[in-house]
Amino acid sequence: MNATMAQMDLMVLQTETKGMKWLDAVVSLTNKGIPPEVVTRLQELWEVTKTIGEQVYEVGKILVMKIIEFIMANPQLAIGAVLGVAVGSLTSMIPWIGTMIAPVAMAIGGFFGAIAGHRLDKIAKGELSSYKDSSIFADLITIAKEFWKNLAEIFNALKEHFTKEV
Amino acid sequence: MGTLSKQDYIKALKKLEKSPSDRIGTLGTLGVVVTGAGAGALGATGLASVFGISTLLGSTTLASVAGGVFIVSNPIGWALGTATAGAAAAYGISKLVHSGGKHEEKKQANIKAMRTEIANYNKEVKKASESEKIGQVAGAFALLLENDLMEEQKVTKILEGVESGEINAEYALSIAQSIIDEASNTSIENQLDISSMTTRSVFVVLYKYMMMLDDTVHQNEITAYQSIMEKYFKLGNDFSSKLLDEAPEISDIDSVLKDLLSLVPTDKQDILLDSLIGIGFSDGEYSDVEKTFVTKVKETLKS
Repeated sequence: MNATMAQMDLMVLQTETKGMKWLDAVVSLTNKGIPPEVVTRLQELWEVTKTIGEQVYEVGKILVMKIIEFIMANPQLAIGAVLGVAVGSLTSMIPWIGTMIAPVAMAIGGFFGAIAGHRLDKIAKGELSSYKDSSIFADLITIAKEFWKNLAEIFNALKEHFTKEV
Repeated sequence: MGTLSKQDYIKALKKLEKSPSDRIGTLGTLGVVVTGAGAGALGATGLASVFGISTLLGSTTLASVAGGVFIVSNPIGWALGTATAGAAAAYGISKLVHSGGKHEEKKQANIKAMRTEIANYNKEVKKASESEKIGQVAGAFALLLENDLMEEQKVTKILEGVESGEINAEYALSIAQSIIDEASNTSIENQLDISSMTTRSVFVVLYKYMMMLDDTVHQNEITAYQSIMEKYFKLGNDFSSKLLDEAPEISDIDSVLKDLLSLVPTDKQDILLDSLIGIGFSDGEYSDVEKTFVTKVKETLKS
């Protein structure tokens, strides 16, 4: 995907954030059992914007929206695992957003325990082999990779646009 | 909703461009969700009511678009403006390339016209009021749709974004501009990749490449190309019709090739060379002179 097409797709995603209120996100996340401390970190991410030309992209909002979408799509699993995998694989697929995601990742590590944190690290590093013993995890990671594929393509194509400002 | 044909869709965009103040109805037809008082009425807004009174407008718009594409940016007129080539030359050039090339040429003309038009939208949108801006974006995206450079679904979403203020109209237009530019570059590669070229079409391909250059920026290259045609073929401005009738005699194939390649940027030369090497012969389609020419070209390139 080249930068022009990525911007086209990002405009579509930006439009989809229309009408998304943080309060709605809080309700969704809290009802899913995510602790307030993690929700607060997600709010920091939610507020992150990036500007390309004259367009302000609410990239944080887009990411949180997608994370919520992933959580909602995987209701059968422990929320800590789902959130951990979502954020972990997101970071591994779009490495340059690491700084944006770090506070959320740390909060997840802190509140869902050392195991979740450890898994998160492993996923972020791409060391997936240690999860082979857990087929549910392996499946979830596969699902997450597929889920983030399009977004990763868009974001990675725009890396230069996004990282040169700020 | 969602059952619009592409043509209907393009018409709707054009209509939106003409009367952005009437956008509630048109956007509704396009499946763009409109919030506020107008939303309730949208469900009932069918194609007929949107286009019912606009048949005349619709056809006028189409006519003007066609005019824009085929008259404003006649590629031959553009390329040979200074070389006084006429419509006959244009026809000649078209005939030289195989059908795929013909299609490409038409597409290329469209792209050139679009580039100009979108540049105009860009100018207009800066002085347009907020409500008119969506019209400019709709007009530009209609052109992209017409030329299969964008998907309807994305157009719908982006218009929705512009309408709601999520997307900056100027920015959306600048992206439209980039898409045109990239399509233009892709086309250059496609044209250089025509696999079944005759001797003459080798030069036509080069000619077409020159044609795609901006004459204000690349005047030197265009002049150089014309002088090569003059030097080796002694055909002057009338070369295209003469090429049609007789294959040129070439005395120094290496020099021709060298001169021609010097006009093509390094990164495009490989594509050109691949195309030349890939030249094939159809039975009895090419004259002996052409065959000799191509064989020599191949030998030169392989060595």
